[in-house]
Amino acid sequence: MAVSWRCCDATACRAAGAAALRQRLEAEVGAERVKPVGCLRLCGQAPLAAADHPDGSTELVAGVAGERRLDLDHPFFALQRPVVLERCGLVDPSSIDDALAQGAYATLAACRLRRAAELVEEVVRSGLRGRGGAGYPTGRKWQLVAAQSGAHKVVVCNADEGDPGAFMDRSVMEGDPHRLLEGMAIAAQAVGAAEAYIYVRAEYPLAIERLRTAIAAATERGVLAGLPIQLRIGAGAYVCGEETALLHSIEGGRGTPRPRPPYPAVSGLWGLPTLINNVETFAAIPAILREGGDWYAAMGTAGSKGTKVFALSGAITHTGLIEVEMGTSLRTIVEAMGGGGSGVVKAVQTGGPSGGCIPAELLDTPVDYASLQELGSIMGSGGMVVIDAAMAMPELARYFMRFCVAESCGKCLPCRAGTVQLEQLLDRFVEKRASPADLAQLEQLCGMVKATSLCGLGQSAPNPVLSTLRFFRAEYEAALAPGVVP
Amino acid sequence: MATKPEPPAPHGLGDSLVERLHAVQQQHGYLPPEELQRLARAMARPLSEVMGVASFYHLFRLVPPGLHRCVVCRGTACFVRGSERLEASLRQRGVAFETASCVGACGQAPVLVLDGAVRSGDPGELPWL
Amino acid sequence: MSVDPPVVHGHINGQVFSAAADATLLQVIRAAGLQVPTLCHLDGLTPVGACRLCLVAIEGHPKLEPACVTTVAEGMVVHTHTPELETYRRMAVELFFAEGNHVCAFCVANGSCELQDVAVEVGMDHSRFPYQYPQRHVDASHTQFSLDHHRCILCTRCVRVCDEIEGAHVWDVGYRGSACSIIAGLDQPWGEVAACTSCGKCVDVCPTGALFRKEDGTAEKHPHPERAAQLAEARHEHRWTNP
Repeated sequence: MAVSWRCCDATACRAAGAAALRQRLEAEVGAERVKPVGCLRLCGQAPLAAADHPDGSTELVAGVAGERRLDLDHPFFALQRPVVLERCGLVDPSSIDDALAQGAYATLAACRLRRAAELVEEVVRSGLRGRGGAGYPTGRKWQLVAAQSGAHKVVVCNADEGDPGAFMDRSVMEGDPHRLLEGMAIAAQAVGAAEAYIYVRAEYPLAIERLRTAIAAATERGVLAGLPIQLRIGAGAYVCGEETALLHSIEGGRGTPRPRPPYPAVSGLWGLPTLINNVETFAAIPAILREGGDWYAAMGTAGSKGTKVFALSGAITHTGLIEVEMGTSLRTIVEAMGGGGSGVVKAVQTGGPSGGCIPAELLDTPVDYASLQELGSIMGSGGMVVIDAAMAMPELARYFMRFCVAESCGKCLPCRAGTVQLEQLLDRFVEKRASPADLAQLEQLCGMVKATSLCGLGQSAPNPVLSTLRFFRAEYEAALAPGVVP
Repeated sequence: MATKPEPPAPHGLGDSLVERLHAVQQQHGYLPPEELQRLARAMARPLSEVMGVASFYHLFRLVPPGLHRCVVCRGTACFVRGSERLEASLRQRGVAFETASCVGACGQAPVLVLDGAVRSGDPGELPWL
Repeated sequence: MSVDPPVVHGHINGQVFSAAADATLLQVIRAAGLQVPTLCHLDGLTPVGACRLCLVAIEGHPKLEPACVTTVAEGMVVHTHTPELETYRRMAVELFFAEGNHVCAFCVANGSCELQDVAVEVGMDHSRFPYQYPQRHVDASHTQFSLDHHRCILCTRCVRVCDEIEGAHVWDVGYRGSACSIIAGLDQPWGEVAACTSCGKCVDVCPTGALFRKEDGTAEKHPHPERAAQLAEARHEHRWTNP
């Protein structure tokens, strides 16, 4: 038996020359021994390929000529705990036969023999919380939708992964799309939904292609338990990650949020009871139903169960995709797995434009919902960007505020007009011409926008400012105009 | 803006306004006004609603695009790794470009998307141009 | 036979209230003779909760809630004028003034402008935030009316009255974020939009001087925001108010 190769065929590796590497390997061992797979994790070294040797050993190489051999015993790989990503990188994402051979849809088939309430109960026991950012208990959401009396219910997958610095959901969709479909089909059975939608952002063409292929194949094979799943493509609006805005967008309208209640569980898509979860949440479902809620709940911490996928990027040696147990410390992630900063690590940004910066001295913080929130950041969807000493914090805060200005839908005043004023205030700090009054106004306006905006985008837009003010206030004070004493 | 709950729509791919706008843009490269008018008539929707939706989303173009399309990623990883310098280099060379909030190729930061292909490299070099 | 909704009780600013269980907090506040400022809200139109001026504090709720879209509940304890709310309301009005070009002295609506009234109510005489002086335009293409975008606060009353009461849906919101504007048709000159019936309801409900009759000069606008509720009642319940 000869060696077989798995070549990463995801966005990052494609950008770095995956096609050339694959051609080279095909010429070497024959096309039938080379298969395309999803993310092999260490995106910063792309393109990547893994060799499976007849003796059962595996090696990982990088570079268009496969010239760099990577150490699979490195903590970056060794400390991963793949649950959501258990098949990502092993399975050919375009082949339903390969997915079926590796166990796809087996859990769904088993679930069809169980009562719906049992499935919901299993998810409640797992302690799984929404992986899209807000962290609402998934089981409770399922209970709410299951309890709705309407005959017509809908399951919606939020695949509008818009946080800059986040690519977990893209990796799942590109690497193991059948897992997502299976999770959605189980959810539909559990809550009694008859149709399903995936709302995916247009910026992910490869994920869209893989999902299209997967849905067509799964429908043709009849493995989705009769659930029709439709794709809806976004058109460039971050705010559509907010659930009510997302529903408006699926309905074909402007992606503006509306006040809740009513929550989508009661009145969602076209007024129907709607279960909305994000990609990673659905992708965790097959493993939870296969192994049991208790198995999942045994991982992680008291308030944050299971595993979480993070996209590690920024000023760090090893960038890429990791899945670790909840409660793993930031230090383990950044220093052991990420190999430390490419410069001096100053902070880790989590939660994107809704999150904050954890300073280097607090790297021992465990990654769980409560600990991050206590520090004024959030778990968010899983983007983790390492910031080095070269980056001035007011500038980073302005970067996120500019993002929010560009992405505000304009419906409510505090977000539409308040973020514009916040960006201009931050300009004064970046350009070192601020006054002490500006600092006071910055804090006051942050409080106002946070407390009064209509949806999560506006309510969390001040977070990057507030968190950098909390831990790096000296940088703001140093940015006051010369001669001004705070 | 639909201010009243819409009646349960006939479900099916292609029945939403956003989907139809995607189809028009795919065919014409942008959303010509006469096509928006035709779409409003076909879907029996008010003109202002069609325009309201078309102008809301950043990927919908209301004017014809150039021959090549260059989109610079403004994601956090790209920002931390010099996307602002990348934009400056492009401006210096007179290259027209759009921006995206994040294309999700953070491991390769900074990146841009040139005619649909993700490229990365030194912000000062621009080897692909 | 219709069944009356059950009655719930609670407190607003220390005062006891009883209300139908499907009433909004705003209705209850006004019925109690109390007042919170509003701009996007207008009786007779679907509430949107966008201007955030009517936010109130409800004990036990982690967030402030907009009174216009919040339904009362048994035992609710509501505060309408905490120091925090007063600070935020004043800031909100400042943001409104700073984001547009509002010059009361030259405005058709001077003296009958709801934005002006709210500014007086919250005690705002100038904006501490820099005025943005946005480049906007005036659409005078309609034979009877004009739209001065400089004075528009994006309350969307015109959009809703035209859609929900007149049924013409001439207006909508175009673009997004701080670039949002009210658009007619395909963002065309108003006068070119065939759907407009020239009924003038949008002018009647506009809270500022953004929409006005061409014959009106400075301080001569006389809006009729009450008409939305009257028409809605006539349309839906076949009850006519005879003023």
